[in-house]
Amino acid sequence: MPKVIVVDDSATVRAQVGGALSKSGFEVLEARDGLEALDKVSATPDLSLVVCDVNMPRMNGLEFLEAARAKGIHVPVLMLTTEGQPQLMQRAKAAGAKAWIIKPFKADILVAAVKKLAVSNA
Amino acid sequence: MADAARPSQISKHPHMAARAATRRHVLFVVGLVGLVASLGAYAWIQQPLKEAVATEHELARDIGRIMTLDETLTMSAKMAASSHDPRYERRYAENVDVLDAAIKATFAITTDAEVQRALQSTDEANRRLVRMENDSFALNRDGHHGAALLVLESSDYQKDKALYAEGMARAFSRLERVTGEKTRTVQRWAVVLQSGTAAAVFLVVIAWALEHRARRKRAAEVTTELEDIVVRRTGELARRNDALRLVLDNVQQALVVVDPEGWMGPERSSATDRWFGPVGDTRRFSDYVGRCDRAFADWFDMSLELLREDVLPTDVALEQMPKRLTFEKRTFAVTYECVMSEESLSKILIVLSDITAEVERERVQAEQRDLLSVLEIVGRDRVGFTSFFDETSDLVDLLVTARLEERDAKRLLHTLKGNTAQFGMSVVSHTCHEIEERLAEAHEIVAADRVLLRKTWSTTAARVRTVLGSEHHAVVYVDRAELEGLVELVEDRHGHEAILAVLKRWELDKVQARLERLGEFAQTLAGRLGKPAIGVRARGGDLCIGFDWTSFWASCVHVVRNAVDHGIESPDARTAAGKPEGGNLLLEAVDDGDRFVVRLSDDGGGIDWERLGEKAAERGLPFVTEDDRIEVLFLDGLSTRSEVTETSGRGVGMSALRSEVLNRGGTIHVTSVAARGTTIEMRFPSLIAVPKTSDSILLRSA
Repeated sequence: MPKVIVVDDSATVRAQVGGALSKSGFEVLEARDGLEALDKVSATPDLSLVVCDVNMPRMNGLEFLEAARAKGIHVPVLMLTTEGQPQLMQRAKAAGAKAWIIKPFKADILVAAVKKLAVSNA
Repeated sequence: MADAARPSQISKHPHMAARAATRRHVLFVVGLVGLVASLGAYAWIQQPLKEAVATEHELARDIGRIMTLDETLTMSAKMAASSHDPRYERRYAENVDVLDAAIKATFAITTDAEVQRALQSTDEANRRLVRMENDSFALNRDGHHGAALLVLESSDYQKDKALYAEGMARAFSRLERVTGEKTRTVQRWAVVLQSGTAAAVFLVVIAWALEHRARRKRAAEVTTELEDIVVRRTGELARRNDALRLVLDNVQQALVVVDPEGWMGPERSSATDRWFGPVGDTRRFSDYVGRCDRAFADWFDMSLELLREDVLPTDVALEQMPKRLTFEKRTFAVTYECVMSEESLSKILIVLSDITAEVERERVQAEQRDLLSVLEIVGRDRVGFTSFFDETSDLVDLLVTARLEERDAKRLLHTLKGNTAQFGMSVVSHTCHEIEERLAEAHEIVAADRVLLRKTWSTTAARVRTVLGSEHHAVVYVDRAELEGLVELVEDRHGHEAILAVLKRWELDKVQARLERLGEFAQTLAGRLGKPAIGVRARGGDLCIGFDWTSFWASCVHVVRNAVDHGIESPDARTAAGKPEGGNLLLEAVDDGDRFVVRLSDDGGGIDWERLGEKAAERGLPFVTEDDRIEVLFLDGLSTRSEVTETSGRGVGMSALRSEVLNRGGTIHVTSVAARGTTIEMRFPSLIAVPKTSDSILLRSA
């Protein structure tokens, strides 16, 4: 069962995204911000994908990407963002994010994106 | 239609063409078989021909030998009789058997009956001649030489000699004829076979020539047919192109085709150029629309790259493309269709529809709804609204023009969102929410959002001003009850100060109205959140307060919102805790001449100190004393809400309130009991600046 971690400071988003992914056969881990995600990602070598919000307390999504790369972690990352921030997503891509999807999104869109990204990494 | 209906030349007489081809093939095969047979037969008759010639040669040789031997025997017998020399008899004896053998051998050459008969008579004559010659030799040996010679010259001898010669001549002539005929037959056959070979070669050549001609004809027909097809298809394409052009010229949508790299194809609808200007030398779609909407173009490039990289499913990547383009006060909805070729993306059809009218209609409807709400509020509390309106104008100016710290921008924007929502301006409030979302990621209010905010506010403000009237500051509104009270004071001949105190109040804001306003907001909010109706008690008594406190009351909105949104539990939780389903709010204000106190209480679940403690720990903040706790509770950007809703959760509302209180020299006190509720109490120096004698008037119950 592919492992995916959902990083978002919103419990609602984590529950919604996590629930949809669990139903689709993923093992879902959760983190509330970049720092927590960094710990969990380091401790989970067989992780298939990180689904990561941008705006979070303590360590935001971009800082997480940079920190993960600095630690030599190369698990693919799918960013969750709001529309109209192309520079931000350019930075995210430069920092190693594989792709991004715009909030708010429908659960099936996210699941389809995660499936393709997680499978291509498997 | 004439072109389309014309049958192809090849398919005109297919059965005839097939028959001609069969004939050609039969001809070829017949010729070939004839050629092979003729050559075989010709080779085969060479042997009989050779044999016939050999027989002729043998016959000629034998005839010579027989004639010579016969003459030798006759001459030997005659010489023996006339010379009496015995050597001639020996010579005769040596050759008589040879002649016999030669005649026998010649017999064997042929089985022809006539030859056999002739040779038979020759043989018989020969045998008689040999007997007579032997008689002659016997007479000679006995010395009767004359008699011996007579035997040889007798008429019998001469007759047999003639028989012999005649038989030989007949046999030879017959043999010659037989072998000659045989040779001629064989030669005739040879000629026939040669002719046959020539005819077969001719047939093969003809068949080949016909086949060659048929093939050339067929190739020419195919070429003609292909040309026909090309002409027909070109015609069809031209007609379709014309039809397509007609559609593209008249469709009320901008249709553009781009390749996966974003390069525009030559085909597009006329509306495209009409709306966004001539394409000219521009080749990239993002450069083309970038002249109209840079933000759209940048996002388009980003999301097209995502689509091209194929890391997401195509439909998911398409969802990420920008869907709205604004240009020259017009709004366009943008949709995308992928054209796939062998499972890979080959083209993208972009459809831009002008939805300005729809957007405008929705906006007008929303504005009308807002205006109705504003009218209602103005009808109830004109003074309060006027004050709110002026203050909000200043706030918008500040947000749009000033270079603010991110934290301040967030707080002010949040205040603006809350205040406008409270005063029924949902369009402005909603715009603030959108800007907040982007502010959270960009860490500043981007230029486009400043323009958006100014535009949204000025549109709403212009409408509100028509309701308020431009001279709204020059008017004072007085309750009928208050006016009657003043008249009573004058009639009762009260002192000058008492009358002045009442008049002064007219310049002030009524605290009760403010608290009721907050209560209404709480009820509206509960309705919007789908919570049961909230019981509100507002107790402001007769207290009046300066209009410079408007921003404080606006900040109190955050407390009320927190109480409704997450202080008051869900109906189930409340029932389980033995409380009525709907929550209760108590909004109080008192002034005992020493302190002015505003107390806002709910009967909800109390503050989740544990969660707040976690938040504090995440930020490394102390969380031990009550002061620590309040410090954390009112900290910027700290919210115990795990979800940002349009109503609350950004953790900037409470800090806005704290600024208001501190700026007025006040203090905040929080009392929260789990399952019982929360009270936020704000204490200020007393407001009562008017003389003590007027207390009775100030605190008089309405």
